[in-house]
Amino acid sequence: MSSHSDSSSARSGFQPSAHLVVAIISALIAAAMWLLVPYQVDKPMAMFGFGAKGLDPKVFPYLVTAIWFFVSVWNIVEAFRQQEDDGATLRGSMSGSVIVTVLASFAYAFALEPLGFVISSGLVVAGLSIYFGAREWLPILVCAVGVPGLIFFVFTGYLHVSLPPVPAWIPGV
Amino acid sequence: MKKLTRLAGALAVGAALAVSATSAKAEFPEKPITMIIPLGAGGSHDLNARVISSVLPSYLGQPVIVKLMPGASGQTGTAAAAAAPADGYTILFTHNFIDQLQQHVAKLPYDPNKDFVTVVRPNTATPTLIVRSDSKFKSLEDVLAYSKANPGKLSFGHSGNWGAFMVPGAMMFSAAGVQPTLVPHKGGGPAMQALLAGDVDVSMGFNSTIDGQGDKVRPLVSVGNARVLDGVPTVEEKGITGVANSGTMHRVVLVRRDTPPEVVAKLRMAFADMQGDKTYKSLLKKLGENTEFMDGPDYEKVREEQSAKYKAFAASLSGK
Amino acid sequence: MLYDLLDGLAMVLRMDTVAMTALGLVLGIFVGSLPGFTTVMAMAVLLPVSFFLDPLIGLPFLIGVYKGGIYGGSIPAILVGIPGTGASVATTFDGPKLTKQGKSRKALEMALAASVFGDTVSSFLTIFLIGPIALIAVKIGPPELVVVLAFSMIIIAATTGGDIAKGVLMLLIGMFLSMIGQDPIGALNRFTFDFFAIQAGIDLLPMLIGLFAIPEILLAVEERTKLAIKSANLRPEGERLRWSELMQCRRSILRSTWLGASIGAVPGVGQVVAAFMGYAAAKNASDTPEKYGTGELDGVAAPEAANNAVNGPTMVPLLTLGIPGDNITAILLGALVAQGLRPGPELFTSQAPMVYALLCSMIIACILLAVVGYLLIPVFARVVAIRRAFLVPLTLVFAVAGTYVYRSNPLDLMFLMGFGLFGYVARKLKFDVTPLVMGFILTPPLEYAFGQTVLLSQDNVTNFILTERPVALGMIVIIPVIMGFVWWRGRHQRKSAPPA
Repeated sequence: MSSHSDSSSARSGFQPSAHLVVAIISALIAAAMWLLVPYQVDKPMAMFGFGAKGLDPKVFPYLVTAIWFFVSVWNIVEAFRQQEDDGATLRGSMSGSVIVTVLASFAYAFALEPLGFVISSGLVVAGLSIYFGAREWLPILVCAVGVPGLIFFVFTGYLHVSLPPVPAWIPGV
Repeated sequence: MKKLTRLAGALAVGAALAVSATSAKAEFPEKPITMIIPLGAGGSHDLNARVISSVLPSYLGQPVIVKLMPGASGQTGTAAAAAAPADGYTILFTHNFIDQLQQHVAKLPYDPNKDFVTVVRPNTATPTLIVRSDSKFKSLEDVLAYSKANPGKLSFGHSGNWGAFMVPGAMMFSAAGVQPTLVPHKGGGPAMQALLAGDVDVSMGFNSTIDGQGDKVRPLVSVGNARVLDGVPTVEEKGITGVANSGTMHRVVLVRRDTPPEVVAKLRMAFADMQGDKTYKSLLKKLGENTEFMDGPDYEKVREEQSAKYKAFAASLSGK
Repeated sequence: MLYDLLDGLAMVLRMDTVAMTALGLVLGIFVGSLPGFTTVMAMAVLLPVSFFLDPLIGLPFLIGVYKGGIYGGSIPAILVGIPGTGASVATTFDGPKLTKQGKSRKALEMALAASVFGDTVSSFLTIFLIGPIALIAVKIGPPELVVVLAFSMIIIAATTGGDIAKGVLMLLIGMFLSMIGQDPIGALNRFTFDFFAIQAGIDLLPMLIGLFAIPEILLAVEERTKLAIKSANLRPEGERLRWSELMQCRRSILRSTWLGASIGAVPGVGQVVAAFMGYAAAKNASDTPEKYGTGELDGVAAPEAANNAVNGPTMVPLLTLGIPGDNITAILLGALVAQGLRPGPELFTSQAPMVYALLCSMIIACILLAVVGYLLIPVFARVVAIRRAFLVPLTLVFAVAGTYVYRSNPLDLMFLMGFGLFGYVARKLKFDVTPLVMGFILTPPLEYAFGQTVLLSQDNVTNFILTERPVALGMIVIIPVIMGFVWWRGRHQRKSAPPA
């Protein structure tokens, strides 16, 4: 354990490390899941009047959640023992760009089926590239409309896999 | 901002058009048809589907896109087909065990009979009970005798719960009054491997797999209406009744029941016409499949019969 | 056997076969490089093409697609951090970093060289050792598989970089996530909270793309200042791979080839595991393990050699017993059957040259891969010349498209983003997600095999293993011994070699 003279922690008292927080949350979830096993696992069917044979579907869940709980506790102990800062921090993630990208990604995922692949991709690409500084309209158009359009045609036309099409309520399609 | 007002305008117009867009299309089919398969890649179903999708377009006039949607024992794919628009552009290629048996053993988010109607039944697949050539079981009687004397000791390796081997096997054993131990495997291949390795006592196979093994396996009895292998009797001949039809796997193409009748008729006709196609027949033959075609209305009756049989079977499994 | 082999070779040394193999390779590479579009899907889509071709043309074509696909997956893995297939995930550890350092061409060429080497060697091994490998395949039943998988998980958790406690925690979370949905044996719902859409379980692909690609994107976004700057280099992809650099990685490549081939011989484990194992082994054997993950060429060579080395032995159960070991061989089986060839003992005895012809076409495909891949690399490497402002959203589009085409399940997209966020936070908090992925991948087969074992043993597992499964017993004894030895030697080496 390095002697880390952390003046800030001396001032504000005990500073929980990220590791510790994660470990505690993990322990809580593990315990909750363990308790939920009997409710969340369906009962196996009886075959041939024998009653269920073989591995009960509850065995692995019980085993895994239990070990998970103990490993979380182990992590809690480790988090206390290690005073070193290994650089684990969420600083930097709170920047505007990251939050915007995350929100845009989720919005994209939600909009994919209702708006269709080409339109939602177009919006995301146009939006994000402008946000990140692109200004000339031609590259933006190519990337926002051309690329998703190409992907759509190749995937659905040649490779015969499905992507959400432009929905029927948009005229002209 | 301009983009937004334009979009809003388009939406308004679109909404009005959408109402009129639900009228029946002029000439079905106008765009490719999607065939959903609620099973995984590479299995016999997938292969049959590939054959169909490469020949059917010439009778239907539009390409057929195969969409594999495995998961939840076939429920994922089936639910997706049930949720698709009832315009005939989404068809479901499944088999009778998923279609009719599952509803009696699991809680489904759809009703197979209310939600789906048969387009056609392209073919059937009759499995045969097999043992290793050096096994002590020389005939079905040996197997049944052993199992009667030692309940639970006979291990039957099948290809997965409610799959193509488990249902015929379980039904046959149940009708014969014996209780084997059912050992699941991930598909026909691993089941065969387990049999060859000696891990299980008996298993099942289709013609092509059995032929491929040469003299390494011995077929004992086929679960079907007619003999499929030379010298191998059917269950009926061996005195096990009531199992032949519902124990055979019927591959069936379904579509939503509320699809416009003329669309369903077109689909049925395309499939029927395809039955005469040389390429189709030869490809299926190479796969070892038959072309026992049955059209939609006839098969609907079969579905009902099977549903009743499966209901009784499921009850017998859990009630005894 | 030699005559059959030579006959088989003669059968495939024809212009049209070679040409179609090359075509298959090109298609495979392009499709494989599209994230989310797995090799299985590519082969399934192209399968009907082989129906109408002569077997000696159609099958090599599919084999070309197969090998091309496995290699192709490494391209987006290296360039933008999105694994094209599950097998390329381990390549995303060092690949993107190399690209950022302006060495994308080197990385791509290294991946190619390692892949070709691994594939070719394992194909040769397969040809000459087909008998013994087939025996292994038959001997590996459920109990043996349980042992192999359990030990694999332990090894991976123990060799994770950094804190073992964190690694094991990730492993268990992964194991738990794999149990959401239906259980592998009886298809009973578990942890679905009555939400139907989740009954199909969490799929691997959205998880992989989410855990590995999205954090790359978000981390790139964090360093926002670099986004608007165009690369000043005239050749942003860097220079070519040097022979000396390739030679430096020879040990890793050899080790990975051996590892991959062994894993390939065991049905049920697969390329993803092989890639991770190859990477972990290389890292542990190295003098500078801390460099892995920062842009080590070795970190690309090791997983790529391993995941391609799996290809050869995987074909063995298919060709000798007619039993497909995974989805890919299942499709090849379909192609063979549609041509009227039923692989299995029958085919081996009655048409041995044909079987060897197929094996030879695999070697031809490997050699062609080297050529085709080398020619295509400059094409792909140019991708990095795209401005970051566009590259980020376009990468997102590819990630989403790839996820959607897999199962057409919008829930997968939610998982994609959810895992993306999780992966990002994990990276920032210094948690390695590799054990999570391993736990997720290996638990369902482990549970399945264990369930089968219970049924086979008629509920008396210990007795069963002791009396009837000598192979499993042997493994349970030998593997910890080997592991202990390796661990002891590692400690010993580290103690005697003072830290640099």
